Amino acid sequence: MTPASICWRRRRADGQADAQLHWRRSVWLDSRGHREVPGRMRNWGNAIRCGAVCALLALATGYTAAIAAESDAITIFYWGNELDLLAPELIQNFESLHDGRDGQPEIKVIAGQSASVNKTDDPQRILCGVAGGDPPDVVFFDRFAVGEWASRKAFMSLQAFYEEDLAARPDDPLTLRQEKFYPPCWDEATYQGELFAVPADTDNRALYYNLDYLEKYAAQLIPIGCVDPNDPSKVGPPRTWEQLRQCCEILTERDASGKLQRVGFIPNFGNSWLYIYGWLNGATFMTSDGRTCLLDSEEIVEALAYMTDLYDVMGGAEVVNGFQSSQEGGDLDPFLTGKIAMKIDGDPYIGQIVNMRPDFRFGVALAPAPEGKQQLGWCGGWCWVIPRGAKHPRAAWDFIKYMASQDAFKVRADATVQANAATGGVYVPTISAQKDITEWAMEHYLYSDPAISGKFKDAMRVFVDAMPYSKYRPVTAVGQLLWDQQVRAMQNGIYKKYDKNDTYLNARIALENADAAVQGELDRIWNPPDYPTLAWWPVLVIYLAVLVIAAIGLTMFFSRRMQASGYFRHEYFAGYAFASPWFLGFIVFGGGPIIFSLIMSFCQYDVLSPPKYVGTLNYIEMFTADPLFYKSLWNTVYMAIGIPLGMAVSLGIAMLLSYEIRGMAVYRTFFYLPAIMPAVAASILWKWIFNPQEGIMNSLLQTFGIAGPSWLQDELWAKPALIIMGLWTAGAGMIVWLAGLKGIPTHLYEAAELDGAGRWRKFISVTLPMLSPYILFNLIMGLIATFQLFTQAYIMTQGGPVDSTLFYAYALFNNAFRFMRMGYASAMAWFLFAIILVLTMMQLRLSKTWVHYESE
Amino acid sequence: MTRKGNIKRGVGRVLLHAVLIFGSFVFSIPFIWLASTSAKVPDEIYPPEWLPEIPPGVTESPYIALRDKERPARPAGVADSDWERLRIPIVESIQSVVREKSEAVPAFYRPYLDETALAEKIFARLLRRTPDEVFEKTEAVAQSYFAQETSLAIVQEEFDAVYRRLALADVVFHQYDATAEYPTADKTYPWKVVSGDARLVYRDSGLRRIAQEVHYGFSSEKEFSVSIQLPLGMAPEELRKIVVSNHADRSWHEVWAAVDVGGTRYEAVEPAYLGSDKWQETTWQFASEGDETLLVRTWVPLIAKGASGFNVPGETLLTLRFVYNSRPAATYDKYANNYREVLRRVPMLSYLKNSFLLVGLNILGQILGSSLVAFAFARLKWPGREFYFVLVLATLMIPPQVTMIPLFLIFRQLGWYNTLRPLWVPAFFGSAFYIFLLRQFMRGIPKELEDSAKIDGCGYFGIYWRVILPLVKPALATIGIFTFMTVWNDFMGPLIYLSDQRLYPLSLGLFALQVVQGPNINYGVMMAASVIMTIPVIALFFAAQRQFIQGITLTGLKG
Repeated sequence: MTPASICWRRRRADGQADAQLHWRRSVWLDSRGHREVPGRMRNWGNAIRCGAVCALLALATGYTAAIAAESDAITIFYWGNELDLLAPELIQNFESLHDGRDGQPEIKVIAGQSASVNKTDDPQRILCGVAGGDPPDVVFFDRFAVGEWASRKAFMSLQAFYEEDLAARPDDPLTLRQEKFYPPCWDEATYQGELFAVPADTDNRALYYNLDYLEKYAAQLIPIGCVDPNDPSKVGPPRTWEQLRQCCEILTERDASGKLQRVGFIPNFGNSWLYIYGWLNGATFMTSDGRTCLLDSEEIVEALAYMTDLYDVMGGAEVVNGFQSSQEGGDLDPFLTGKIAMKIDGDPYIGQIVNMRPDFRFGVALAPAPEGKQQLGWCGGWCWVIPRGAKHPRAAWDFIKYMASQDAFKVRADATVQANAATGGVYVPTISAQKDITEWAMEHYLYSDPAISGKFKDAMRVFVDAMPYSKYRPVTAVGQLLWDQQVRAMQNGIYKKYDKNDTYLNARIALENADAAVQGELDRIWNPPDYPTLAWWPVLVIYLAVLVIAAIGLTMFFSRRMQASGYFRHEYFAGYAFASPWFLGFIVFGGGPIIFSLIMSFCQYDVLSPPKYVGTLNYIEMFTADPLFYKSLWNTVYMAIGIPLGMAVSLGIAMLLSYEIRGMAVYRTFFYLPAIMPAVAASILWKWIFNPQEGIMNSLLQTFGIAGPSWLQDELWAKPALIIMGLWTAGAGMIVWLAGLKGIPTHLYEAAELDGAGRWRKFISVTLPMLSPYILFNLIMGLIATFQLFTQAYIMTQGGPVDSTLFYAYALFNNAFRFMRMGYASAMAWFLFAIILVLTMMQLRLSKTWVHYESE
Repeated sequence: MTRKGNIKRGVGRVLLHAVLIFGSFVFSIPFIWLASTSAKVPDEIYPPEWLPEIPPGVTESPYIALRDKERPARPAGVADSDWERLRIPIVESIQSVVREKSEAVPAFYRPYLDETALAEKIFARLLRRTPDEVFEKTEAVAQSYFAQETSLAIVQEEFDAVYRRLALADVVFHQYDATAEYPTADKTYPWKVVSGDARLVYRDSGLRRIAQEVHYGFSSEKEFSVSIQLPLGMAPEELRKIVVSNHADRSWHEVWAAVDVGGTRYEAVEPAYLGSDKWQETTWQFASEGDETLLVRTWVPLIAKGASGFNVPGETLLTLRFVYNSRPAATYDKYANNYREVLRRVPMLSYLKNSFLLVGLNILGQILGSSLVAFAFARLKWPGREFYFVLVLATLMIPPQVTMIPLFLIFRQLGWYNTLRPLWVPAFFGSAFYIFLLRQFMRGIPKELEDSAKIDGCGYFGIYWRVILPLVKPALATIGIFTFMTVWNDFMGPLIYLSDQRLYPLSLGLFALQVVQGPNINYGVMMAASVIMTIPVIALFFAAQRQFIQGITLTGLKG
């Protein structure tokens, strides 16, 4: 043994002795020493400590209440996007236009982050703002959702402002004019004939093709008609659906074993969705009055059947989607790395190619259409809105007008140019919703720049020229639901959920189901039964009444059982006293919202308008008419097999880490690392690990001769993949075990050893019984956590593929915040509550037989 | 202890270490990956490699280099045997074509045309569009195919890609609403070498931009300077920033700027790096008050450093000093680059202050609040205890999504909107998860301890404070770690309750950098932000896990 380790051993021994001594002193000697002062223990140290804590709290309260300073000027709050934060001049310029010197009021702007910061459409922040009556004045908002929010009167109509400007200030350069906007952008910001938003930017979609691959296979492509429109002797992109289908076959490449090496085209990779195929086939997704969903129309069924056929050409949706590295963008993009020969994507992708692979040879053409139909794209984008309840709508309108001006566009673009140029990046302008600004920006930033290669300029031209007849998603109160159902129908279609053999029939059934779901919600909105509106005050009264009755009832009930007196009565009061912080917190913060959600579960409630009492309708719908309810419940129950697995793994690790050897602190930290990875970063890693082609998991399986599944792209394997992922983060559970293991008195092991027990025996007879309180804890907590499983589905899979990771809490979240059905979500929540409560009660009851508490 | 026993224990110990080391490796894979990605520049993210590139350590520039991933790789459709047979002859044939074209390319190319790197790069590029059948044919056919495809345009483009050089081009002076541009193409205002071993060479053909190439060597001196003297065209105080268009050589040497204007000398507060090998624009901007606001800083600030020796009225002198970076230093600078980027994007100190305040108050609150309540549930007998305990647990069972809105309304009614209070006050009332955890721990403590303390005259608070709390330290450490992680990473709470950016915690500030955002996502910066979020948790865990070392030894009582 080295001297160092001897030294260390001695130190440890000393430490232990110290700890014992300290402990003895604190429990025995001290309490003995204070025998003369019965009951109370005062010492100055404690008082000082208490005082310090109180002072700190007081300070904290003061500091944490700091609020922005007020001034005489009108202050408007703006929730913008990151680009605005890049360009401080934007706000400076606006403020200098409204500095109060022209007799108009002075306006100050405070900018903050936008409502959907993470671009996955979670509107909690603005929902809270509007519901709480304290929204920002201007919000940068996804235009696609304008119809949904406008129909619920969450946004102000801008029609009056717009018309007033046209009449009063026709010559003001800042006055907005409908004819300057691309028609689809303007229409998307208009609901029921009224303007609710000012469109900011837009995008368009088209087919990107890898020119190298087209040339590589020119000999096969030219005969089927894939030629350059200007020079028929040269190869060009497909223009019809039939050509696209044949391209898929020609451009797809397999290795000797038949494994995909490259795919020609993935119908839904990039940014296309069922929408573009429907529009290309002449479909409209909704009637013009917005009351009837046309998702199951003939055109869309054909479009979905066509998509399914394309997947089948390359070996089916599982194989193809498994092949595609499921990254949303960035350098891992399989199109840029040559793994996919063609894709449909938006124009911002040009900027990505410019900066990632400037020498990449590619071209852009409008998406192929069925024979004889128009090739087109579809657009989305952002806009500015004024939420209902904004304090200064007039100033907000002025601000929006400035933000929509060419000057503001230039300031933003210049700032982006500088940011990009600093790292050698090239700025490719986005398409503004206004035609003139777009043309100016393209000329100024793109076409006039000799350093940018012509292929990028040609590509952008395709997108810009197709803008005027671009399609846009229907402006409707059920936009998000329509979107989700469109995705669902598409997945059910391409994965052939209903009929493996008849693609067309399968597509029809998938779309009919989706249509029914959307139509049901439409009917509810357009023909609402006359439900009574629920006023707020009864909720409050009920809550107070419940509290009072509960308090009286419980006190009477328990005091009858309270037979003891004297010393034990003292303990009763102590019990209440010690538990009082929780009671207080429950009454102020906890109970109200819980009762509120219970009441809402009997209401139709979208947060933005007053709740309407509908009786048990939500529950009836949940049990009888919502297939996703059962699906999500089953998915969640499936995940419960991860609970014992996770407990076993983390207990094993904890046992390993409970040894006291040198370097254990470091080992423990390493084992804990996966548990502290930020979720988003971890999700990217996991997508890579589970990548069927290049991922670690399948390479590992490969070495054992097992052909791994497509994991996150495979309906059957997505949940097991998430369970495996959960095991890796077992470190979080580990520390509870570790603390528990350290709480087992060593004398128990010593006694067992004296009785001749081996390792296993000691584990069974000492460790497990002593750990039983923590087993109970981990069981119940695991149960609750599993039933509320949300993050993985939210960040990694968005519920797919084919709803196989649509967990209960995720379905609930969708209803609450994306489909605006808080009442229904509350019903779901209370059903979940009932399940967990019953299971927990059972566990608690059962626990009496197997949990061992040292104190009893 | 017998010798045999010693050996057995020694073997066991080694085995244990082996298992632990292996496990540590497996469990740290995510973090290794995170850290390694955080040190990458955008063009090395794909294909995924474990180790970020190390700067080449060049002392002479320009030079020709080909990165590993730019080398030609066998196409999937080509048989291994064909590939091995044809690879070298093809590169040779391309190289001979390249030499033949030497007359057609600008003179300065010629010394580099013998480099195989260039031929390989051209090969890799042509490979993408070569039909696989070419490889199934004879050597001669394959060679002539590639020889034919190697056009002058491709040679030029690929030369541009493998030719690493430092070059300086146009300079632009910005004032608030105007610019003065000095294009290199005019040749009126050239860059000049001031000191050191460097040479400036004009390039007006063959490369994509007209520029002055800087040929330098660091073998004799460790730095050199170049400067450019330009008419200002505006009042000195109006000059706001200077933008220099340049092409770096991936060497990661440092560039320090100095500007002499209006009799004052300004120097850059930090270096720029010769990191990328693209055309880029580096901006030096005079420091101003607005710099400290919540903006993305894309420039290097300049600050006044006293009187200037340069005094030509109406003219400005811009000096760039290039300083040698040894390979380890260059590696460090490259690896730290994304972290600097993160720090430039967020006002770290203000966010950190809020984060630590919140974390501290929450830990304090949870430990005090939850342990008090848990004590009542674990160690005291009072009517309704079991009922209320189920009620405590029940609060966990309602999904937070449906209580979020009413909870927000309550905090708003209390006037706590846009304060930090909603984010820490509730902690002092205890939370169900920790109450349950502590209750389980406290119930594991033998009753005898409490009894003897009672006999000794301890009140309930005394028992709680002096007997129970010291014994559940491991559990308190667990709570501390959990609370730290939850609060530190909490994003939704601050997002909803705060609108004043001065109150933002780090999680909210860095969130924008952490999400997958749009097409131009920079994974390196995103991972650097994630590492920054992770490090304090690791440190805390490392410190707190000591609490798990000392097991509770109750021998004194029971024995």
